[in-house]
Amino acid sequence: MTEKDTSAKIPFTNLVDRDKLTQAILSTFSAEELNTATQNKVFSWSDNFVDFVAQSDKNPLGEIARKVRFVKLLAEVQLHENLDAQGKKLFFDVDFEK
Amino acid sequence: MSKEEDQLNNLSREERFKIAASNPLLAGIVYRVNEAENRRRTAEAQKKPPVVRPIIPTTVMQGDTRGLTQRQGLHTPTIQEIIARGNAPRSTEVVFDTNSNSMRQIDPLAPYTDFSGNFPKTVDPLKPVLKISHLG
Repeated sequence: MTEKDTSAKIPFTNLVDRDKLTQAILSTFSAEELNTATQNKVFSWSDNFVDFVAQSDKNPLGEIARKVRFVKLLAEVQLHENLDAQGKKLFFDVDFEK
Repeated sequence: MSKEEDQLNNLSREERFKIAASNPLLAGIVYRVNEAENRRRTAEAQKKPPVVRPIIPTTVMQGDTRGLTQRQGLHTPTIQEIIARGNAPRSTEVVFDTNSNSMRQIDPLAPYTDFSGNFPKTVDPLKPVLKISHLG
């Protein structure tokens, strides 16, 4: 897994719900992992986006990197489903096999 | 395995992701189910025996083979004939690469190589084409 695969800046919009993504992160990561992730600056939260930097020189964290990728996929699924509900289509497909 | 994990296990990955996206409290369980599936897949892939490819009997001929191929009703084109063919549609033929021990396709109009990977910079039009035929 490369940094490019896992790093993601996900903006919170009406298409990606901040509360749902927060709940998903709290459900996926253990308290210890969240502590480690915070100490290693894996997450960067703001009101408008969450920024993941799971894989870098500072954060060679395999399990956390996989969880970040999972949450990132969940955000993509949310985005797709909300766009579908609005009758719009995205130009990319979610790769569920990751 | 919990009851939820068991139920999620019977769903496709896409369905699991959709459930987790709409009900994020289940995200952790979906993650665990996915990871368990990944481990199973990896283990299954490692169990499979390696694919054994059949060895196709081949005869490799090098150099000027015009005499041989004519006797067999074949004809090895010379460089001049290939050049004279001009824009004739290219065809490919399968040859046995002795370097990699595998079959590969060659373009008869492309500059030939001795399989060392080094294409000659210039082709001597008087020199017969190196022909490697697959007779198997």
